[in-house]
Amino acid sequence: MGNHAKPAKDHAFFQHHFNTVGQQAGAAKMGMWLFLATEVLMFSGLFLAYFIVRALYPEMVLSSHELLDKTMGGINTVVLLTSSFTMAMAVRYAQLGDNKRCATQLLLTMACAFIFMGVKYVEYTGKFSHGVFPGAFFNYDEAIQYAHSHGHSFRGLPHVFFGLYFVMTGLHGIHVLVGIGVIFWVYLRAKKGHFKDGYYAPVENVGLYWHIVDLVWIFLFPLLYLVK
Amino acid sequence: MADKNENKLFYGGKAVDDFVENHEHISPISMYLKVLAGLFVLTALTYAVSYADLGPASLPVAMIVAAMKATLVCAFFMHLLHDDKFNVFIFVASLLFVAIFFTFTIFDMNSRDRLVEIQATDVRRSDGGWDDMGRMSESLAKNKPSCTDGSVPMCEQAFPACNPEDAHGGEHFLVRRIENGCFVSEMVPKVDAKGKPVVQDGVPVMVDAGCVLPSLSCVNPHTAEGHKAASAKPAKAAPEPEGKAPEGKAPEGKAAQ
Repeated sequence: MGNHAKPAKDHAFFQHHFNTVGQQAGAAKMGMWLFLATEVLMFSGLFLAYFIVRALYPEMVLSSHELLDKTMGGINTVVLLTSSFTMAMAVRYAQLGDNKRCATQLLLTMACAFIFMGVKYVEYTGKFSHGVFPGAFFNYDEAIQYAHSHGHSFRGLPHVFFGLYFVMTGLHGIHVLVGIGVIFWVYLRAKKGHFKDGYYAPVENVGLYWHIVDLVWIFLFPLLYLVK
Repeated sequence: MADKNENKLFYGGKAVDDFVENHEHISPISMYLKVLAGLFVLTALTYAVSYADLGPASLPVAMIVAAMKATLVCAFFMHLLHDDKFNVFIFVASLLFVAIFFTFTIFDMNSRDRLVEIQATDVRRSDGGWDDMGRMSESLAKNKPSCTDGSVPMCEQAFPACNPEDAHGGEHFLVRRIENGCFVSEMVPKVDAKGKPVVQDGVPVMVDAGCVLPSLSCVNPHTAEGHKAASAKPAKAAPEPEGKAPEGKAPEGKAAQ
């Protein structure tokens, strides 16, 4: 045995078709990165749509985005960044084989994810109740009144902006929901004490997924809520 | 029974020593806390900057700050700093393809005619960039006989825009006009400053400067019917501007509020 390599069948989840546990974990992580690359490409289409619409109709985009609540967006950003931190901590504890602390961090991560979705719910229903619906469902009369009541006025055809807003944040929200699901899965496994002896690939890969969700929001937030 | 080579990697028939299949790196908690603090500071920065009016610089500034945050997340939370370089390569390759995607689409956008949806006419690119003004006055000259002051900067023509609800139900409707060469849309009351209705036969008529674009009708250009309707009733012959009003200015009422 090479003195640097751990003996092969080190942990309970070692698959027979891998040579070493390191190979198994490395393969899983590479697969995850390939998946994340497709995620980046998928969201890039929406970002490009945003940039094009913004370039063609700057006044429309700028006047419409005034209707979004910067503070809510900011709270969600802080919540999501915090959840990324707790996720990273969960991975760290899984690396150390500390299932208990790992589970706690995963629980905190899920809590943040629920707060995020709760804020999104408040934002969405707030828009819906004033006729600000995606695309063809956009109700101009109500939306215009709503904007005026906030001291804004639309320029151009704001339903285009809100179409983008709902699709981008909606797709991101779906990712958050999926994230809650997979985090719950690794949480259950941590509860069963699965992560030890250097086996933590599921936590790590769920973590990578969760960080990419955070990454998307890092760009969505300034583009949709802040930028003038 | 494990044979001697079980944990060796072979490349070109030779055993490779010291290979690493999975890069484990356990970082101290303090590092994660520092990264989190950095992310919060940068978030506060973008938030604060959004209240300062940076004008055209605001988009690049926001994107740079976001890129810095993204770098922190990737390097430390996602462990790319200590990870297998191949994973870094995969990620960077996806960004490279995004760059190609963006670049070529922008080339395409810049070499394409643009559609003025209200009029369903295209605007061609002239040397100096998008020439909405030039093209619009050209089309005005063609379409309306009465726009005598055809002199360029547009006769402040307001274009009834296309929101049936507004035209039929609301107090206001959406008009577009050209300001400094840009389209500006706003809601105007259905009755102009002098209490004169600005809708006739359900067709909003903007009468300033005496020009009316004949091809305009109040339809939603975003629907197929709207499109058809717009082209079907071509010269809804400018109802002799019941506002011979030469008082140039677009509807005084401007967007209520």
